[in-house]
Amino acid sequence: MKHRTQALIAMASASLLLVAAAGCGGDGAGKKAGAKEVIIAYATDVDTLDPHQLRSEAAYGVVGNIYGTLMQEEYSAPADGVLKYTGKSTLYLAQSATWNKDRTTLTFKLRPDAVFADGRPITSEDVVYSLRRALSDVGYASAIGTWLNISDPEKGIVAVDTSTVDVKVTHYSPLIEKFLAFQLFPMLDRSAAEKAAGSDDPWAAGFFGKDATESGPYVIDSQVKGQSLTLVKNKAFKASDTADAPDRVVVQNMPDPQQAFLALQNGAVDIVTGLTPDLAQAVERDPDLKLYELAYSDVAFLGMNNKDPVLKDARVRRAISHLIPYQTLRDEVMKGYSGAAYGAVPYPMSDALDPTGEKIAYPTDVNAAKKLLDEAGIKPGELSLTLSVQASDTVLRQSAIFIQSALAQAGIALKVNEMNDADFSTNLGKLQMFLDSWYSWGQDSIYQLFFLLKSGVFTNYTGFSDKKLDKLIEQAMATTDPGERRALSRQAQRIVVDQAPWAFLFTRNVLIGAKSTVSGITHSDDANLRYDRLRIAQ
Amino acid sequence: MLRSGLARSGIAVVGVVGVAVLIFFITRLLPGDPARVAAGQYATDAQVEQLRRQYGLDQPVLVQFGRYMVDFFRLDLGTSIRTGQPVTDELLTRLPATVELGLLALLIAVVLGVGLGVLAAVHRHRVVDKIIQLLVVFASAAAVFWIALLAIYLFVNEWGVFTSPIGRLPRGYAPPDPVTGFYVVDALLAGDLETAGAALRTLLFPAMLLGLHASPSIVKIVRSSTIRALESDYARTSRSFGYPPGSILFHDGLRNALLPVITNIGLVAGFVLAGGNVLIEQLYAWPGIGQYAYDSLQENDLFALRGYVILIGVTYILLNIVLELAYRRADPRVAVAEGR
Repeated sequence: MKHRTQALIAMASASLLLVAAAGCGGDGAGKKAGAKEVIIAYATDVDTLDPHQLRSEAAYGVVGNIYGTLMQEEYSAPADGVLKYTGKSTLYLAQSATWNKDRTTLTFKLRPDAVFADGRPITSEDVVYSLRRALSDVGYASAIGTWLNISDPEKGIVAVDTSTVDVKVTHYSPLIEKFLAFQLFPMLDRSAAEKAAGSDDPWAAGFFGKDATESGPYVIDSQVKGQSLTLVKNKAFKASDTADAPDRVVVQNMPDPQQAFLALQNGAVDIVTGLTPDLAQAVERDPDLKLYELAYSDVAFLGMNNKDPVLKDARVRRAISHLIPYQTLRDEVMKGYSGAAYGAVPYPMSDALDPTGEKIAYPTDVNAAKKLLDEAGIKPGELSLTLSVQASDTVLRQSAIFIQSALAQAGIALKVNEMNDADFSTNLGKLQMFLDSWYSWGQDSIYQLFFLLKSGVFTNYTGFSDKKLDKLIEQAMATTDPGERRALSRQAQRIVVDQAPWAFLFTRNVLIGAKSTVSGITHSDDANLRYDRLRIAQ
Repeated sequence: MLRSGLARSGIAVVGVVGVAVLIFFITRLLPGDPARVAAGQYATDAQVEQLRRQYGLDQPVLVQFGRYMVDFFRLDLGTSIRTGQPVTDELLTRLPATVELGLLALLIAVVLGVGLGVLAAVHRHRVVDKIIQLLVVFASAAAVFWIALLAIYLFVNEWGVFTSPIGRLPRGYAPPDPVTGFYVVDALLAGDLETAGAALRTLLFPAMLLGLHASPSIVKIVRSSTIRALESDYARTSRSFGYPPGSILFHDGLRNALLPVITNIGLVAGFVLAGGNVLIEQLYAWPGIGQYAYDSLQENDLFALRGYVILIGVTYILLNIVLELAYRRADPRVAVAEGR
C-alpha cells in the first residue's frame, strides 16, 4: 500500500508539472521586458572581462562597449541599416590628438567630462597605465605594439599633466590612430588596478578578468555565468550621444547555431552573430528577418608546409592551387556569401592587388595542374597528402571534402584529418597542409603579410621564406610615405601570388541575422558591433 | 550500523582519491598544448612559455602531480586557463543549473520508465506492449541533437507550447535572488510566482527531452523484472487466494522487482546529472557544468576539465552510497545477508 501511494504521488507531481507548463505556453515578452532592449546571440560565452586576455567574440563584444578609447572609428551615415567604417579615426575620450612637426610625438588631451562609471575622472595616469598594460606581456596585444612604433612604453607613454599624455614613436605609423580606436587600448582605472595587483599578478589580470572599471557607453548590470551578461547605459558617459541607443543589451550565449536561428525567428533574441551560410539563407527567406552581409578580408586558405619535401617545390603548390574548385566552394559551401581571394591580401583590404574581389590567382584548370606536376616529376597516383582541418569549422570542413575530390582529378590522394581546436592550434606549423582563415584587425596589407608570410614570424604557419619579400615588408614598415608603402606592398603581394605558399580559397563575409526592426549594424574594422549605434524601431 | 557507515565512508574517500589520481594522468593524454591554446593565436613562444610557468606546466610530471594532489585535498581545483577564474568557483556557480535540470529529468525518466514498464509488463505481448517497445526503440535510437532541434522547432516556433530556450528563464525575466541556486525554488521562496512559473516552463522543456532520452533502460528493466515477479510462485499463490490484480501488481510484482530497478535508476541518475546533460545543455543554451565541460574540452582547459571529471566522479560515488542505502530500505534481506 505504501509503495502504491509513493508511485501515485510521483505520477501526480509529474502531471502537475506538465499541466503547469502546458497551461502557460507561448513566448511571452516577460514581465521585465523593456521597450529598448536588444538581445544579441553569440556562439560563445564571455570567457573573461580582461580586455587583453579575452578570446571569445562575446567577450570582445562586451569589452568593446563597456570601455571607451581615446579615439573611435568614424562611420558613414546609416545606409540600409548599416554604418560603414570610413577608414578614419575620430576623437572619443580624447578632446584632441595632435602630432608634433616631425610626427614622432602624438599628444592626447582628455575631454574634461571623461569619467569612469563611478564618476571618478579619467586622468592622464589612467591613460598611461592603460596603454602600457595593453603593450605589456599580460596579453596578446603586445604583438600589435610593434605596429605603433613605440620602442619603450615606459619612456614612450608619459603623462604631461593631469589630462595630457604624450605618446612617442620612433617614426610615424599609419596604423597608430586606427589601432588606438580598437578595444585593445581601452581606458582602465589605474587606482583600482593597482589596489588589486600583486607580485604574482602585476597587471591585475585576476581583477580585470571578473570586474570592470567601465569608461564606455555601457556598464555591466548582471551576469549569469555561461548564459548571459546584461549591460545597461552608462549614465556618466558623455563622449557620444547615446539617447537613441538601446537601454539594455543582453549578450546571450547560444552555442548551437540552429537553435540561435530558431530563437531569432521566434523573437527570443534580436540579433544573431556569426551565422553559417545555410542559416544566412534561411534568414533571407524569412520576411520578418534581415540578413546583414558584410564584406571583410577574412581570407580562407589552404596552407602548404613550405618545408615539406614535396610542397617546397613552388610548381607543386601552383598545381594544387590550380586544382581548387574556387567557384564550387563559393557557391556550394559559402552559398555565395563570399568574395574571391586574390593572394594573401584580398579585397577589401587596403592596397589589395584586386580592387573588386573577383580575381583568382590560379583559376581551376586540371590540365594546367597536371602539366605543373609533370614538370615537378610527379606522375598521377604518386602523390599522397594530408590536409588537416578544425572539426569545429563547418565551412572549412566541407571545403576539405570538395578539395579532396578536386585533387583526385590530378591523381593526388588526399587524406582529410579532422582535429579538435586545441590539437589543431598546437600543431599549426607542423602540419603538411591545413585549412585555416585569418582576419587582420586594421585590414592593413603590410600587417597581414608580416604576420602570415615573413620569415621566422611565429604566425607564419607554412614556414614560407622569401628574402625579397622580407625586405619589402621591412621597408614598408619603416617608411612614413603612404605612396611608397603602397608600392612596396603591391610588389610583396605579387611575390606571394607567384610563389603560392597557400591556395587562396575565398574571403568569408560576416553574416549577421537580425529582426527587421533592428538597424545600426556597424561594418567596423574590427568586426565588432557598437551597441550604442544599434537602433530599434518601435 | 556505525561500523558499516564508517566502512562505506572509507571506501568512498578511497574512490574519490582514486578518481583524482586517474584523472590527472588521463587528462595528460589529451591532444593539444594547454599553454599554447590559452596563449592564443597572437602569442609569441616567450608568452607561451610564460603561461606554462604560470600554470606550473613546465614542471616535471611528478612535481605537477604532487601539487595537484595537495591542491585537491585543499579542495582547490586550480585556475581555469580559459577564463582565469578558480575552477571550484566556476563549477559551483554552474552546478545548481545542472542539478535542477538533472533532478527533474530524473523524475520524468523514472515516472515514464516505471509507468510504461509496468504497463508493458501487465499487457505483455499485446498491442500496448508492442507500442511501448516501439517507443523505447525510438527513444534509444534517435539522435538527441536532432530530436532537440525538432522539438524546439515544433514546440516553440510552431505551436508555442514552450518558451524559447535561451537559458534558465525566458526573455524579460531577471533571475531570482540566489538562496538554493534552483530558480524555481528561489523564486517561490521570494514569493515571485510569475518568475517561478516561467523558470519551471523553461526547465521542463529540456528536462522532458533528457528524461525521455534516459527512460528506455528503466522501461526495459521494469518490464522484465515485473514480468518475472508476476510469474513467480508467490504471485501465483496470491492469485489463487483471490487477491485483486492491482494488489498483486504492487505487492508481488513491483516490490519484488525493485532491486534491479533501483540499480538502473542509479545509473540513469548518473547519466542525467553527468553525461547526458552535456549535449542538452549545449542545445538548450543551459548554463550548467555540461556546457562548461564542453567549452573546456574544446580549448583543452586542463584544470577545468579535471575539475569537471572529479565532480562527476564524486557524484557517481555519492550515488552509489545512496543506492546501497536504497537497497537496504527496499529489501531488508540485503542488510541481513551482509550480517549488519
